[in-house]
Amino acid sequence: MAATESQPGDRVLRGLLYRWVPNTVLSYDYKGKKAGKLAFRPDEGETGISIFRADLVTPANVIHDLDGYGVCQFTAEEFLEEVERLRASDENNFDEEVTIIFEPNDWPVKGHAHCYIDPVPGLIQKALYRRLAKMTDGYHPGPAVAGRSAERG
Amino acid sequence: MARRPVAADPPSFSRIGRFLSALRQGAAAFRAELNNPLALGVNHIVGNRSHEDPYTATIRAIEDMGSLERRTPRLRVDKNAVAAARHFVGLLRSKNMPVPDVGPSPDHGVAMSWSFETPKGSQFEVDVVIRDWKRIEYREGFAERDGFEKELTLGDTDEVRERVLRAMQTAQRVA
Repeated sequence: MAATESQPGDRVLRGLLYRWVPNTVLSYDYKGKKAGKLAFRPDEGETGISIFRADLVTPANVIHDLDGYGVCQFTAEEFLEEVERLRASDENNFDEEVTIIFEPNDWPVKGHAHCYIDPVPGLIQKALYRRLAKMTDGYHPGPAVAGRSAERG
Repeated sequence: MARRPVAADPPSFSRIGRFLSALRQGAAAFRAELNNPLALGVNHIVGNRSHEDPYTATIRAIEDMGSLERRTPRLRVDKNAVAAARHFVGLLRSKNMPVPDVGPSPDHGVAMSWSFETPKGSQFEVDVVIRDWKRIEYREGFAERDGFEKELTLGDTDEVRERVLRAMQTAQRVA
């Protein structure tokens, strides 16, 4: 999707999306080297999560001022396809509509690329960290600044 | 990209301060503080980390999260979540249950995660996010399935411990 084609409030239906990954245990899976269970959990008071259009911003800009963070990515197409699969399955009891909305804001260096996925309940978070999200090359988080893995001690 | 070192020792909270905080939280928290090994100063013996048992090490990691705000404001963890999480690990110790992975959650709680292997090699996972003493999110389910077998909010750390214990037993029985 070219920048000139989208307006604030438009749904994002295609294209690569970036998400930051904090350098803390459970936000990043240090053993599996992939996004962890908390990477897609909404902030306090939120029901969705922030992501950024890869056609408008670089991974480095996504983690601007987020020292030690990494970046993961997934495509809007795959995400929306997975949402529909989960909705269609009788096993999941899930019928919420999940949308990706283009919502540029005034955050430095990356606000113009900001999008919001809403809502992101546990089922969707699990799909993201289990199947959809891949770490962006060269953007794995740094050493953990918080948390403890039971395995490593 | 600059890399931060692994977190240094947290500042010690005064024992009086901890007891006053626990009193404000209620009877359960006060009893927990009385039984807290850190209150005895055991965990602050210089050079003793290599001999730490996993429960003490996990409690130390949780305590350290309480000081995150000064180092990384975006990763702030609520002090009530820290207190409840410390108490909960004490409950795990009392039943000799395995310690979880622990980390700060984006909504200022303490997250915990266990993975129990079933006899057939699948993973039965339990995830907890402690927001405070009365808001504890609990999920359990098979890693490879879409959703969760159970997903609920609990208000009692004893109940959470019992559910984790039952989840362990469930995983051992799964065909």
